[in-house]
Amino acid sequence: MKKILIVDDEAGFTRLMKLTLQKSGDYEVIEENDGARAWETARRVRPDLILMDIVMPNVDGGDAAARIQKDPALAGIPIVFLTAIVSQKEAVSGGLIGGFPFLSKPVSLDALIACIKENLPR
Amino acid sequence: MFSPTPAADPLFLRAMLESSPDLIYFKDKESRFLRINRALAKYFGLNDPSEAIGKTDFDFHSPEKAQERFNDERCIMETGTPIIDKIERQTQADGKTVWVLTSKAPLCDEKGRLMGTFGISRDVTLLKEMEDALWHERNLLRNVIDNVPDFIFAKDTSGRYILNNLAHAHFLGKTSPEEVFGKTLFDLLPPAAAERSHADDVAVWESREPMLNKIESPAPQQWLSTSKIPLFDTRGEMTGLVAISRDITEQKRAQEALEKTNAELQRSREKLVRAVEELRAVQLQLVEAEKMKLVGRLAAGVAHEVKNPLAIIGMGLEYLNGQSFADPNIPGVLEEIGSAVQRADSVVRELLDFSAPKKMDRVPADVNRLVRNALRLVRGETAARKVAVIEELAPNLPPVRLDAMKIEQALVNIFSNATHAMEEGGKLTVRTSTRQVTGIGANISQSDNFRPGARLLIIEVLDTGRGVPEALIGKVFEPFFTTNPTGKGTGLGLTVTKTIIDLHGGTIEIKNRPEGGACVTIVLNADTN
Repeated sequence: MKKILIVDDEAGFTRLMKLTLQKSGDYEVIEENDGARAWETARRVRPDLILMDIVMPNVDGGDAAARIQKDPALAGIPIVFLTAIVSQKEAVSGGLIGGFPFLSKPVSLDALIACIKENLPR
Repeated sequence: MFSPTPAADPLFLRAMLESSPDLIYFKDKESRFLRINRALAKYFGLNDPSEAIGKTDFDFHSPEKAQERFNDERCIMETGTPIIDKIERQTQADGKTVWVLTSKAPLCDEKGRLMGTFGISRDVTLLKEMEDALWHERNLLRNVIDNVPDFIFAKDTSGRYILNNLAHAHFLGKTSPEEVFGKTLFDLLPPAAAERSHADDVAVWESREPMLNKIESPAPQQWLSTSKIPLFDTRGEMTGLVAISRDITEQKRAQEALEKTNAELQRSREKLVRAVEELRAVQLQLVEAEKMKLVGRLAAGVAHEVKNPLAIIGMGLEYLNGQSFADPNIPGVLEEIGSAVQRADSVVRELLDFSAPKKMDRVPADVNRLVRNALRLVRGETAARKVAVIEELAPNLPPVRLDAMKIEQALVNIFSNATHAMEEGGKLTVRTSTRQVTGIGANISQSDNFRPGARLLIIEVLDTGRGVPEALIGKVFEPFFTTNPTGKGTGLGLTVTKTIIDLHGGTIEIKNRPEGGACVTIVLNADTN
C-alpha cells in the first residue's frame, strides 16, 4: 500500500480526500493542515508521494516543497501541487508549476488517481 | 466779278489786316512798327492799330523779350534769312501768358531794297497745352512702365517689338528699350527659347484670345508668369499683342521650399500620429495592466475562496459516488451537484483567464487565415447546432500587424457567441474587406480611431440568431453580461474580445440586423506596418 501525504490547510478537503482515496484500498493517507509542519511530517511518515496545496497560511506550498526537496533524506519523493488558482488555459496545458506537476481543484477522483499513479516511483 | 489781280493787293491786305485773328506787323529797319493789324493792336491793348506806329517792342514787352525780337530782326535783315515757325511764350497786355507760333521775314520795296521786317504770329496756346498734356501723359506712361519690375512689351503682327520697358530690355541683355525696338524674338533669344515664345504669340493671334498667367522657364532655375493679350484697332483688326511677364523665380523657390516644408511637416505629423497611436495603445495597455493586476488579485482571491469549497464538495461527491442509497433519487441529485460544481469551476477558471496579463505580440498576419483558424476551432459547436458557415473573404488582403493569437481568440469568442444565438440552427456569415477613410462624416461610424486616408480592414460576422434586445445592446461588452441561458457561458467572452480589439487600436460594434440576427463589425487599421 502506498503512503500519500496530503498537505492542505482545508481540513474538510484533506479529510474527504483521505476517505475517498482509502476507499479504493490502494492508499494509506496522512493529513497535514499546516504548511509549516509539512517538512517535519514528511520526515516522520516518509510518504511515497506528497499532494501539496499552494496557497496556505504561515508557509505556502512552494516553500514547503522546496524545503522537502532540498532534504537528502526526503530526496526522490514526488510532489504534486493541488491548487485552486489555475486558469482554464493552464488547467488544460498539462504544464508544471515551479517544475512540479499540478492538479487543479476541484479534482475528480479519476484524474487524481491517474496523476498519483503517473508520479509514484516505479 | 472779282478777280485777284495785283491791282487788288491793297484790298486783300486791308482785309487781312482788319480780319485776320493772327498777329501781323511791319517794321522799319530800326524795328519800329510801320503797321500792325487789328488783332495785334488788341493784343497790345490799343484802341486803334495806328497808335502803334513809330513804337517798338520795348514799348509793349519786357526788355528781355523786346531785345530777343530786336536781335532776331537784326539777324533777318543782315542775313536775309527768314525765321519760320518759332514758338514763343508771350505775356499779353492783360497779363495772360500765351504761346505764339511766329514767322518773320525781310520786308523789301518793289525794287528789292531792304525796308525792314514783317512777321505774323498765331496764338497756339491751346495746341501747345494739348501737346504738353500729351507729352506729360506719354512721359508718365513711359515712367510707369519703366519703373515696373515686370516685363512689359508689345509687338506688331510680324512679331516686331513696338514697345517695351526697361525691365524687359534688361531681361533681354540690353541697356535700353530702344535697343529692342523693331527687333523680333529671333534677334534676341536663343532659337529654342525664341521658338517657344513665338508659338505662344501665334496661338494668341490665331485664337484671338488672351493667354493668361502661363508659367514658363526660359532658363534653368528661372520662372516667369506671362500673359499675352491680342491688340485690335478701332475696326477690330488685329494689330499685334501686348504682354506682361513677371519673374516668379523667388515665389517658385519659396513655393518649393514651402512644399518641402509641408511634406516634412506632413511626415512629422504622420510620425506624431503614429507616436500618439502607439502611446494610446501603451497607455491602454498600462491602464489595462493596472486594472488587470487588481482584477487578477481579486480573481485569485475568488478562485481560492470558491474553489476550495468546490473541491470539498467535489471530493464529497466522489466519496458518495458508487455507494447505495435507500432513496433512488440520490444518484441523480449527486449528478446535479457534480455538474453545478463543474460549472462554478469553469466560471472561476475563465475569470482567471480574463485577468491574466495581456502582452501584445504584433507581427504581420493574414486576417483571412486567422478567420479560417478560428472557424475551425468552433467547428464542433457550429456542427452540433446545424449552423451553416459562409465565408466571404476578400482576396489579397494586406497583411496587418497584430497579435494573431489574441485576434484568433477574439474571433473564436464572436463565432461561439453567434453560434450560441442560433440554437435552432442558422447561417453564420464571415466577411472580410478593406476600405479607406474618406474624411469628415467618414464611411465608418467610429471614425475617431482612424484618420482620413487610413486603410481599414473590416471583419463582419453576421448571424441569423435571436439578436440582442435593443435595450441591452450597449451592455454586450460589459463583463458578466450574457443573453445565453444561465450556465451557458461566463459573460466574459465579448469583454475579452473588446479588450483585444481596443489593444489593437481598432473598434468593435454590434448591431441587430433588420432581417433578424446580429452583426458584429470589427475595424482594424490596415496601415500599421
